[in-house]
Amino acid sequence: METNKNYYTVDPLGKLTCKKCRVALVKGKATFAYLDNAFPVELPVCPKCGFIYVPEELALGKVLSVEKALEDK
Amino acid sequence: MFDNTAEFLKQELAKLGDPKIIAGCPTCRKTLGDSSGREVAGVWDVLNDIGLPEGATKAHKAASLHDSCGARGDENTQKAVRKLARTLGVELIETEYSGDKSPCCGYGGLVSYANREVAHELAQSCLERTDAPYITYCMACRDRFAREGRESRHILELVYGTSAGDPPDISEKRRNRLVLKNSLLKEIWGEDAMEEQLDFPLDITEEARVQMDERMILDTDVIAVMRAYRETGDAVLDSGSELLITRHRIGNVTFWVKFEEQGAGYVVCGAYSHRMTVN
Ligand SMILES: [Zn+2]
Repeated sequence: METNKNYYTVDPLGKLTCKKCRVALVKGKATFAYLDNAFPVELPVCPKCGFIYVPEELALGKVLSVEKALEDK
Repeated sequence: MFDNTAEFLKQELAKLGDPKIIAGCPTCRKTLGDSSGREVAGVWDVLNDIGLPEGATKAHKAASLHDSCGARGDENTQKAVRKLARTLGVELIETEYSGDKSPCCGYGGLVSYANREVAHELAQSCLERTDAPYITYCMACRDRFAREGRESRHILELVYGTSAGDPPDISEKRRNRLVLKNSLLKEIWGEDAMEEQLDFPLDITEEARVQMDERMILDTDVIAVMRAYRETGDAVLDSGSELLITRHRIGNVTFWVKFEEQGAGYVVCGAYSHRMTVN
């Protein structure tokens, strides 16, 4: 697997803030894992506390379809 | 797991001196009978014996009886329920596919949770048999048909002259079971109920409730997420929607809740979940 490959990228576009740290979320590297499979992705992350945000569109879209595909394997 | 549960029930029944079991559901009757090796009566058998209670709804109208899948091959139950329906004054319309050939309402195998569209088609194929109202003797069939907009009553609603109302969403279903268990504990066994009190104000909007039902998220899941938020303070503020969004993993599922803070409590405006972990 190429190290720079990302299966998905969500840009925070400056409209997301970490409530606790009061700083804007930035695009950061994260890994989705399910049933012994892992996927590198880029998601909005808090640069201070590391909170990773999974937007609703992603959870109900790409994430759900991958979960279903892996369960059917 | 099935064997463990069956064994547990067997032991508990033995402790009670192996009382007579009366089942309110044909699947329970069959399953309990098979696993305990004892005769289990259907509540319809008992009602045929003792007669209708006061306040029973005398229907005097035409309706079709939908046999539940748990009664396939169980001629006694199929007949007993018909007898009870006639006692209630119902003029029964027999359809082509009934008795052992009765089709699935769309709840069997939890299809209505796994694939709503298939469940809808299954219910429609049941309802195509006649335009008449349906009487069922399984709560799942009753709710499936009501959800499809057909007049649908569980036979016990007529027997006890009551209406179970609109089909409950999954949170209400769970709450109904808790209420039943708690009232039985209190009224019959004189034991204290196990009620969990919420120590902060929480409102869930109607839109959020509809969404949660569609996405199979319980209000207890949302409460657990909000409890976690009160401890960690972890949340994202979306300046677009002006909502806070927090999350908490319960077992194999991560639940996300969109909410507003209101005084000392919260207004929940949406929820979603995923099973993948993210790190
Ligand atoms: Zn932070």
